[in-house]
Amino acid sequence: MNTQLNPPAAVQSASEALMYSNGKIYVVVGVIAILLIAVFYWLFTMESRLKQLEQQEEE
Amino acid sequence: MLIKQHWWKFLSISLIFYTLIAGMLTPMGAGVQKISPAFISQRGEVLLQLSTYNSNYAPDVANNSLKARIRLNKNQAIEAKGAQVLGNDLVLNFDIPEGNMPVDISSPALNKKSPYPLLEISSPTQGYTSVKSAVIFDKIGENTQAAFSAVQPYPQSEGRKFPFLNILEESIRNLFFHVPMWFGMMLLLLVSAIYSILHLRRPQHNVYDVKSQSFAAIGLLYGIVGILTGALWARYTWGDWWSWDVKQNTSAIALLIYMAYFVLRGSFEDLDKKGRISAIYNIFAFSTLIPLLYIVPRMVDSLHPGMGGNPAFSSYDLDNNLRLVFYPAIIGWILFGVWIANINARIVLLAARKAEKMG
Repeated sequence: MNTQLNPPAAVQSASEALMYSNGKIYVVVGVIAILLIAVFYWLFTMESRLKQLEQQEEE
Repeated sequence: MLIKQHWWKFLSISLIFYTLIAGMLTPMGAGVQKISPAFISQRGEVLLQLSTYNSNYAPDVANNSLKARIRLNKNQAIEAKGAQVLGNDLVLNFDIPEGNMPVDISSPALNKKSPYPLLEISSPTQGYTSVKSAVIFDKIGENTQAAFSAVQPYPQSEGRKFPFLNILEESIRNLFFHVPMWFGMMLLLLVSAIYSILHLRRPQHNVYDVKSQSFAAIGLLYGIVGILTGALWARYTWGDWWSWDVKQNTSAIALLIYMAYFVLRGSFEDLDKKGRISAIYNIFAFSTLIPLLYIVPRMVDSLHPGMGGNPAFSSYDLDNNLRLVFYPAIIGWILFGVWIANINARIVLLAARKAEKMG
């Protein structure tokens, strides 16, 4: 069985240990966070472009 | 009226919402993280110690209802004689017969590893658990003297549970967030290439050009999310952010090709030229995606599923409970991408019309 890639013998920092804890569930949390950041980034980019157009309208 | 026109948008958000909830709340089946000893050379009584995850075998061991066996091939197995619970570990007692072990090591399909020796555990309370290639025997081959027990199928687990796979563990849930990004990217870029073809046929309308640009932008965004989430996932399963795995490399190249598309667009003053040349580039860019993402990765060994002998999912592991969340996730994110790309195209078109009016 291939387990050599599971938590390295000496897991250094506390944050590293957290990522391996509870069956690596925090990796999933991190992935969802990246996904949400990307979606919000795009929505806000579009909003700022619309805002620019609105400002041009007013001028 | 609202529902008639926009039903697919409601569907998209509902599906994404569903995958978040079902993907995170469906429990993991009982699993085995480690087996020791991994190598069996002695004969007679052997004790196997199993580190278990998310399982409590104590009640079953107490009333003798736990069943376990090491399957050597389709029909023969070594039945466990006894079991006990030691803290979080389960200890199984096997009587290994003399001589060779008739382990079936032939691949069931191209690029698939044999699952044998397959450790199987059947428990009334914890359900069915199996570990592929669970142990290594010193001698493999025909054995006509020893009596192996015949395999009767164990009952499969009831209820919805995700399979526990070693190394992946709970991060198997990333299947619903990482993989749909690539499916979504592929579809959005296909739509973008189709709009590019339409633009070349009717260059006088810039609608097609703007649409093709918007779909490429959202496709690229999906690809970037895919590569970032993949890197994070890889860090804690394959051991490194970037393993120079063939699929990682080819998808990075694909993203660079599409980034170059936006650089190209930005470098034209003349609108007609910009539209036509970037449409041609876009069609070529899409046609490189097929060999980059679907052909080259299949030709070499890779850490990604479906290639080489890797520990991640294969068609065997992608079970129905995973599919029940995975397919809705793909549909949800594709529809969401189409929605956002359309809004983006409308904003760009509005800006273009305004610029025209102002001269």
